[in-house]
Amino acid sequence: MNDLAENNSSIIVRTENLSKSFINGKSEIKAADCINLSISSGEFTAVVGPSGSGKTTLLNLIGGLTTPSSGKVFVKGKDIHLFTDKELVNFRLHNIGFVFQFLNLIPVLTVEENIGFIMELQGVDREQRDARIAELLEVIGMTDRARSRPSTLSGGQKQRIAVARALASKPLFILADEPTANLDTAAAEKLLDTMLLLNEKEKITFLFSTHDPRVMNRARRLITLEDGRITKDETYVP
Amino acid sequence: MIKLAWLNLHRNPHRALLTISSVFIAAFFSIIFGSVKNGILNSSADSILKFSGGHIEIRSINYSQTRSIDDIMQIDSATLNSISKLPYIKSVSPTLQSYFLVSPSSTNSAKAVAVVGIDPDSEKDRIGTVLGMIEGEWFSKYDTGLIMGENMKEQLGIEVGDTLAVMGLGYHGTSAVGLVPVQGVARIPVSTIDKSRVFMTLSATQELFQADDCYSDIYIMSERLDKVDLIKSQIQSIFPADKYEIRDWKSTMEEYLFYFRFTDSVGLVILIFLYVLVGSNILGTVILMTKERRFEFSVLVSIGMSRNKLSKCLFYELIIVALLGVVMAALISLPIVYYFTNHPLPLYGEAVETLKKFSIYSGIYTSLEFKTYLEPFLIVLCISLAVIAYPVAVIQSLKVDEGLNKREGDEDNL
Repeated sequence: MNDLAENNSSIIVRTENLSKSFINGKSEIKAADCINLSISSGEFTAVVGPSGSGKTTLLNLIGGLTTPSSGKVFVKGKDIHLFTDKELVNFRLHNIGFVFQFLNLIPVLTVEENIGFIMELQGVDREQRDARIAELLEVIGMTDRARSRPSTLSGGQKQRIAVARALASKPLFILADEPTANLDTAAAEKLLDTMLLLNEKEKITFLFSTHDPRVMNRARRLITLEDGRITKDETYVP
Repeated sequence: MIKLAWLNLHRNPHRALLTISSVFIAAFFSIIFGSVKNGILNSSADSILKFSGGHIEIRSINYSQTRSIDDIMQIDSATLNSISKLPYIKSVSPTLQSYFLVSPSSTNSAKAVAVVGIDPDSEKDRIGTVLGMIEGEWFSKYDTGLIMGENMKEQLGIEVGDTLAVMGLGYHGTSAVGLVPVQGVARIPVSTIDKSRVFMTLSATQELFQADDCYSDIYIMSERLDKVDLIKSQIQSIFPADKYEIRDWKSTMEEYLFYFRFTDSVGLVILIFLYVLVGSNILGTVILMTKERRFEFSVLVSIGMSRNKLSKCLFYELIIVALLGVVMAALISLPIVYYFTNHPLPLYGEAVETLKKFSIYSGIYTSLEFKTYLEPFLIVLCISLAVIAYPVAVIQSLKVDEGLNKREGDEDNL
């Protein structure tokens, strides 16, 4: 598929023979092995597999956080690994939202400041920022905690704030690495509800790694990795 | 960004306090040390200058070359008053210096000595503070006697109250001849002067040499050493350069300047040592902080914060810490420096006597000068700027994926 065609299609992420190897002593570990996949706009996709199967590496490669050993990652038709570091940071700022397993929020900022942080980096004006923060706080049901500091929130609340922050600037897609790993069932369910709601309401594409069955059950597409290779790619219609 | 930097300092108060303390200790001791160094140098210079001249000397160009009494200056009292009114001037001491032969009336031997005619009132702040009277009385304005050192007294074999016959060349070919009583004997701390100079009142000297309103030198003491250049430039506008030679203490006291520079260099070495110590302390804290926050930096870069912005944020953090440390040091040291500027700490013992021989005041003075505060401020800022290079280098070369795998500390330590 050429770049122009991809720009106009619904495919937002495409990998082409994507590989990443790490050297551990004398042995070579293939964390990603010739991966070819496409993610279309609006998908709610989970990358699953046992520990060490390469889930995080795949997400890092797609997010431009790790340089591939070989192969390419196209986001909206652009090979992101051809960007300079500065261009890549800027590209991530405007196109990709991230949710990590730990330490997502800046503890010295309030909930609303955390959500507005990326928009502030983008230079969005105060009025627009405040409107968007209020909208997201309502969606995630945390309007009353707008002025709270992250240290006063539960793990689940923090992750919901992280999701809100990731999509505050309306990125092309969100990469979430094990977002429910540290949450109890109720908190995980609530986070998934929030993510699905935002996926439907804001048409945001989610690509997340997990080995949590609760998450797998809610995903619309499951990509299974084993030893860095895609072994299964299943789509479910809700 | 500045707000984020400020808030970040509150995340780990112990770390912030540690860094602020490092900066504070460096700045505090460098202010105190610099102030004591400058204070001692200033007071030493002041003591020496009181005896050997002044901060500024004025004489005619011809006299400077010939040392002949015929080339001295004739200056009216209005001009002398106009100098006294210039800012930062402590005293203006016109003198008339010449030479004559002195002979005790009881002997036939004679000795050539320099006679220095001084104004007793204006000299209170200059020679008067250095000469210690051993016998007799210090001058009143119109006294006609002379004061000499112990050494001269022994050489001439005379006592206070004896009369000396003096003979010399007066102004413009006149004779300077007379009988002058010995009014007092003083302790003169510089032996070359003790052996070769006697003092008389200015009026008596002018009368002896028949040189009314004439002066060989005018010595000016400044209230502050750092204002000497300003005073010199103002005096240059009163005394034309084609007739008068105006020299400041730096050109008249080269050998003392060497001593000052040497002392200054020793002080500088100690200060450098102090700054190196503190620089390493700050660097150590910053390295630790950088290590602890590697994960945080990775998260921030991955969510789209540019490395430059992140570096700028850290830069602000360290600058805030440095400023807090320096400002605290300045505030706390200010009353201490102020007190010892006005109440020098006296020293005792043999060393004091040695210092006195060189007419150096033996006490610990401090100096309340702007530069004493400016220097540590700028140096600590420069150290902080140098130290910031480390986290900036780490951020610029940070491998985000590796950083994300190296989580340290608890969740609130992002």
